[in-house]
Formats: sequence, C-alpha cells, structure tokens
Amino acid sequence: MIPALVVFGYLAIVLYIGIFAVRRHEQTSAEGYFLAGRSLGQSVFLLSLFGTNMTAFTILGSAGHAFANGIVTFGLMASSSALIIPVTLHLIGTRMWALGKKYGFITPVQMFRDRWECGHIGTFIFALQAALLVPYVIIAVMGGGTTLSAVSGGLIPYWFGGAIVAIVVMSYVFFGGMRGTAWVNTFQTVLFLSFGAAALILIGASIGGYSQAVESLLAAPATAPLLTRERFSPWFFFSYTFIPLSTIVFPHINIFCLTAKRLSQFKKTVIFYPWCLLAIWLPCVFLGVAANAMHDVPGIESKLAARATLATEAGSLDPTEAARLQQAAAGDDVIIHMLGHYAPFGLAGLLGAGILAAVMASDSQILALSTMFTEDVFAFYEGKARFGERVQVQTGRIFVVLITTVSYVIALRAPPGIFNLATQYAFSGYSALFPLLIGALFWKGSTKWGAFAVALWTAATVAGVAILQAVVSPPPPGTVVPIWSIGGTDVIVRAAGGTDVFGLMPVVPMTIVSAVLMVVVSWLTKKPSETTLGRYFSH
Amino acid sequence: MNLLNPFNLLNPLTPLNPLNAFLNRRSFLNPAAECDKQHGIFRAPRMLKLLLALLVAVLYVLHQDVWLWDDARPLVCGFLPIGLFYHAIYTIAVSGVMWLMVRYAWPAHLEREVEARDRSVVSDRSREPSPPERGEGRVRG
Repeated sequence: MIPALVVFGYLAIVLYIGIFAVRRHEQTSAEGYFLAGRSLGQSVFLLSLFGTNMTAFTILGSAGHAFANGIVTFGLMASSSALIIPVTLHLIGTRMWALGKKYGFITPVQMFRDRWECGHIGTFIFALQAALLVPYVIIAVMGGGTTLSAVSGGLIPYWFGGAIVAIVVMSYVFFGGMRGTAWVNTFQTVLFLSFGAAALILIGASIGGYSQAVESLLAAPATAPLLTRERFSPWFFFSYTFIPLSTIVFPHINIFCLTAKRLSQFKKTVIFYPWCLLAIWLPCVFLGVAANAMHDVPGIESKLAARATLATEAGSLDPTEAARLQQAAAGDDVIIHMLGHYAPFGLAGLLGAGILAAVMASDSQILALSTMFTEDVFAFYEGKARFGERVQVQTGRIFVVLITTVSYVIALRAPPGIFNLATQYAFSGYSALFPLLIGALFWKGSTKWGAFAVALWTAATVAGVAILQAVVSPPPPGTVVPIWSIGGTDVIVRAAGGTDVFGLMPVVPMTIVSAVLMVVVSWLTKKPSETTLGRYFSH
Repeated sequence: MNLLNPFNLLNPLTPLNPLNAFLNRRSFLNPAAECDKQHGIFRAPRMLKLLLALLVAVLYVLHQDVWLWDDARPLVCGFLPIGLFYHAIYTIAVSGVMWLMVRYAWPAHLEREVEARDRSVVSDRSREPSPPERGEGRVRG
C-alpha cells in the first residue's frame, strides 16, 4: 500500500503543477491556451518535447518487448530514433516553427491548407491524424491501469487505475492547456530520466550485480538468443528505422515545435535528444532482458512458465487457452514486478511514479487532439468567427473531456500488448504521412491532390493491416501464415508479432508508396498559385 | 582575442579551431562560406553541408551492424552484451554529429526571416492610426 500512496502523492504534485502553477498566465486566447503563447524556454522545451514523445510504451513496452525479444529492442527503437528524430527536428521542426511564427499557424493542417490552397482535403487529413492519435491515448490509459494495479499489489483494479490516470491527465490539460502540460511533462521527464539509472542500480545491488544473471541467460539455449539478434532478420531490423519518421508527423510533436520562443531553443534539443533516449531506454531494455533470469520473482516466474507452455504445446492448445497464455506471458509489467521484489517499499512507489510519469505523457496527445479539433474544424468552419475566441478555447476544453472519456472506455476493452498496438497502427500510419511534410516544406511541385493521395493511401493501408490482423489469428512464434504469395514467394504473411511484407514491416512499403504517390499525383495535377509558393520558397 | 586562452580553440568562430582552419580553407573555394559574427553563426559552405549529410547517411548505415548480429560476447563490464553496447555508443556518436549539424548547418536564416517580418509588422502598425479602445467601434446587432 505504501508504494501506492507514494504514487498518489506524485499525482497530487502533478495536479498542482498543471493547474495552479500556471494560473498567472493568460489562458483565454487560442495561442495562450494551445501554444503557451509561443513562449517556452530552452530547458522546458527540451525536457517537455522529450517527455511528450515518451509514453507507456517507453518504459513498460520497451522492457516488455525486451523481455520477450532481447537486446534487439534497443536497436529497433532507441538508437534508430536517436538518429532520425533529431535530424527531423533540425530539418522540419525548425521550418514548422518559422512558418508558425510568420503566418500564425497553430496546427499542421492549417499549414497544409494554406500551402496547398485546399479546404476539405485538410479536413480529411485532420480526421486521419485524429484517428491515428487516439490509440496513443488509449495506450497511456492502459499503461496507467497496469502500473497502478501492479504497484498496489492488485489492490487497485486495472479499471480503477486507468480511471485515476485519465481523470488526473484530463484535469490538468483542461485547466492548464499547453503551459500546464509542458511544465508537468518537464517534471515527469526529470523523474523518469532518473528512474532508469535508479532501477538499474537498486536491482543490481539487490541481486549482487548482473554478471551472474547474464551468464545464466547465455548458458541456457532458450534464453541465449535474447543477448544477440539472431532471431531477427536484418531486413526486419532495417524496416524499423522507418518508424521514427512518425515522430515529427505526430500532431503533438509538430504542434509542440510551435511553442518555442526562439529558433535557437531547438539546438539543445537536437543535440541532447540522443542522450535522453540513452538514459531511459538502455536501463529499461537491459532490465527487461535480465528479467528472464529472475526466476525468484513470482510474477516473472509465472510469465516464463506461460511462455514455455506456449512454445512446447502451441499446436495442441485451443485458441482461448492460447490467448490466455499469451496474455499471461506478456512482459509489460516485468519491471514493476522486479522493483516490487527487489526495491524497498517506498522506493518502489517512487519508481512506480517514474513509470507513471511516462505513462501520463498522453496529456500532449489529448491537448493536440483538442487543438486540432478547435482550429481545423471549429475555427475553419466559422465557429471562431461566429462565437469568438473565448468560446473556441472552451470548446477545446470540452473536447479534452470527451476524448479522454472515449479513450478510457476503449482501453477497458482493448487487448494486451502495449508495444504492438502502438507500433502497428499509430506509428506506421504517421510514418506513411511523412511525405506530406517533405512535400509541403521542400518541394514546390507538390499539390493538394498529391497530399490527398498520400492521406487516402495511409488510411487504406492502416485499415487493411488492422482488418487483416483481426481476421487472421497470430500463429505461434517462429511460424507464419501466408496471406498472399506470387510464384511461391510470400508477399504478405501473418507472423506472431504482426504482418510482414516481403519480410519487412508494413511501414516500409506504406511510406515508400506514399512518397511515390506524392510525386506522381503532384506531377499530374495543378500547382498552387505563384503567390502562395512565393511565401514558402522565397529563400 | 586572447591567443593564450585554450578555450578559444573550442570556439567554433575562431580560426584557431582545427575544424575552422579546414572550413576557412574551403571558403577560398566557396565565397558563400564566412563567419557571420553579428549573428554568432558560421555559414557553412555547400561542401560542408554535403559532408554533414554524408555523415548522417554513414550513421544510418552503421545502425545496421550485421557484423555483431550473432554475438553476445564480449560482455562489456562483465554484463553488457556487445550488441547492446555498440548501439549505446552509436547513440552517443549521433549526438556528436548533431552537435556538428547545429554548429555548422543551422538554418539561422529562418529566424532572421521571422525577425524581419516581425519588424515590418511593427512598422506597419506604427504607421496606422491608434486602435479603438476595447468595445469602441464594435458593431451591435
């Protein structure tokens, strides 16, 4: 119960920062509420941007993925993100900031509408972005439920934990807007950046160092591959480098780029982003792998037993039992079990708060959805002109309540596996939208029809992958179900972890075809006026 | 400039910096390359920008470390598998390249464009008659 109390104390601090600490700032104008008046300082900008991009999936999902797949997790997501995200911030984030300052844009869709002289195509892009962002919010609510339930030793049920997280996040987003969210994210980022090292040291001290654990993993044929990448094809590993392209396209990141006071505030973010990733991912991935050697932790032992049963009796299990075992073997909470077993009581709570900090990064997504709705729909369709800016901000607040409630209800029914849920839908979809930003910012020849083709293709493929994975059950690990073959060559297969296209993740063909569509359709269609192009390409 | 100050060697604007010595040599080939001391930035020659782009491309390739694919050993510090250690060092190397990009390929013109626009908006406003008081002139239906 003590760890749960520490977590509740943490939640109270977050509420205070998000609601009361920002009261003195103006929150009635759209720029004041949605963009913190474009006035965030350097440190808040770096820490909050990083925190905004770290969700439940960072700590819980990464450790869970490493528990099942090994050290490959770090290369798949962390080190590739360390390269791609700063580069995109440098090239695209800075340009979005400048356009926002020059022309008053608050959302990316506003820029697309202006750049390509379009209206309803912008609305379609808004709808698609919003649909892809909701899973991200759901992940956070699920992570909140998982964390609170685990930290309280099951005293707080999953549904109640999720509800508490949802209400806290909703409250400070509702009252504090972007400024409250940015300050809470800064506090949370500091907390969970120190979390990784603290967890690594505490658990290491309790088990007498990690050498013995790693050697025992290497000695067992079942676990030795977790310390290499032999179970993964280099092509699959390569295809994961397309996933971080999604980051700059995520509306909450893109909109956040507009909050910087000066362009120079991007500099430290670009340089230190890789260090922040290292600080949080390396300990989480390593601990997730090391958990396989911790048979004395009851929660982990039952997961290992479920995994062993799945591996040996996969063919003879009925689907219900297989699903139950897959759920039992899921490793999203291994790090919490380790802390509960090895870390002292109060400290486990503090570390649980660290996890919750990452979980609650959904605040930015909720705010981004609200910003997009009020700017791209309410204001665009004359709501602002008819009712004024104050009503626009109030509408944004109501939207915050609505989207949080809907996400919570969906989270109660969503299947387990935080990592896969995030990767397969939201990340892949946003990566496929990446050519939109490149076309808008760097290519004069891009047109609204090119943009529409990209958005339509992304919507179709995300829906296609989702339907395919819902219809075709995942096969046992190590086997695949061919979906489409040509001349004996498998084109699309259903694997245990998702869907593969020519051995690559779907994100690769999705993004490449998006880029091709942008080029081909733009070539064939009418360009925007010279006046518009002059405003974007005067340099 | 104090030539005895060792920190001058690290200053990206000083010609004593070995990298800048190279860059200044490049500037003979490209007249666009110059130190813009007024804005505290170095305008990189096209060659340097290409070099940085190439460096990023090399990093992208180095991410695909197939040569360590099947190896867990040596264990760095006795517990860190070599594949994981490689990617940790890789992440730090990326930060170094990002530092170079910020120093030598920063899009400072964007900020100057924004400032120029802000100045023109302010001067336009100063030429306009003073705005009405709040509520004054509002059309009542």
